[in-house]
Amino acid sequence: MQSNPRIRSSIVCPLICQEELLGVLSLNRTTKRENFTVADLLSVSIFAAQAAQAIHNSSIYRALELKITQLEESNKRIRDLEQGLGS
Amino acid sequence: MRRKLRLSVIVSLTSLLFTFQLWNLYFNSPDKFDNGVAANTILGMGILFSIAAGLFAWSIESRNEFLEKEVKQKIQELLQKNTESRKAESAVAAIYQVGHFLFSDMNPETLFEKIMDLSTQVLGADEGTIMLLDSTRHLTIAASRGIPENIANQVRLRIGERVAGLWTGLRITRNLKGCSPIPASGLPLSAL
Repeated sequence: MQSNPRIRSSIVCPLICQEELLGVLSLNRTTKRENFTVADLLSVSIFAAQAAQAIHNSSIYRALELKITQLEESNKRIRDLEQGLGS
Repeated sequence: MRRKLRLSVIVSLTSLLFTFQLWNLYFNSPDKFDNGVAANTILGMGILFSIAAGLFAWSIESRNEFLEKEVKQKIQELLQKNTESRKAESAVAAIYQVGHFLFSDMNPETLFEKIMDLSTQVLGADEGTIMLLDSTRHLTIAASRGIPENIANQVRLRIGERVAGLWTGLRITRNLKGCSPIPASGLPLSAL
């Protein structure tokens, strides 16, 4: 693997929620002199766990919204049909 | 140094005082044996004892000074460690609070931007990316900071490819400048 000389320090952290791999969070320091520390590493892992949970929640929320839209459309079609049958 | 010298001199002078008193007692004693020889022997031994006592006091005081220094140094180290652990504790608390702030956003696009902003700000990073796995198990950039948009839009990595893909495959956090990897459970490997 080739190193990037521009990057002074880097942290790469997987985004995992309920044992499902969602992606990866990557942070680089290019201008700051100090490298990331072990404390930073721990902070990122805590933050990434919470970010993964938030991403997972938002995807569930989006799926729910989609389902609601579909149900509303179905409901509307049923009502239209009912009205058609009634008249 | 001054304290050591003062203590040594006090101990030596006290010993010498007792020696002279003893010498005086023997020298002026009305006994028949040779008072002069006995008194001089006591005087000689007393002087030697006084010097030895002074040296002993010096060494004891040196040891005391050394121990005092050690204790002061240890106290300083403990205070420093205490300060560091308090800082780390407050950093972790801040991270938790920041994390809770994320849960208020249910829109993925704004959420990714929020994650990027918070992570780069809190950790003092100049660049950052969130790469997500798509349905074909490829990593694509969902949000980025410090990376030109045209480049960010083109990135598409397989698991195991380049740094991000590699650590995604291994499922561990990695600080690429020599820190310990952290598994997904959040515990550093060195602590396991």
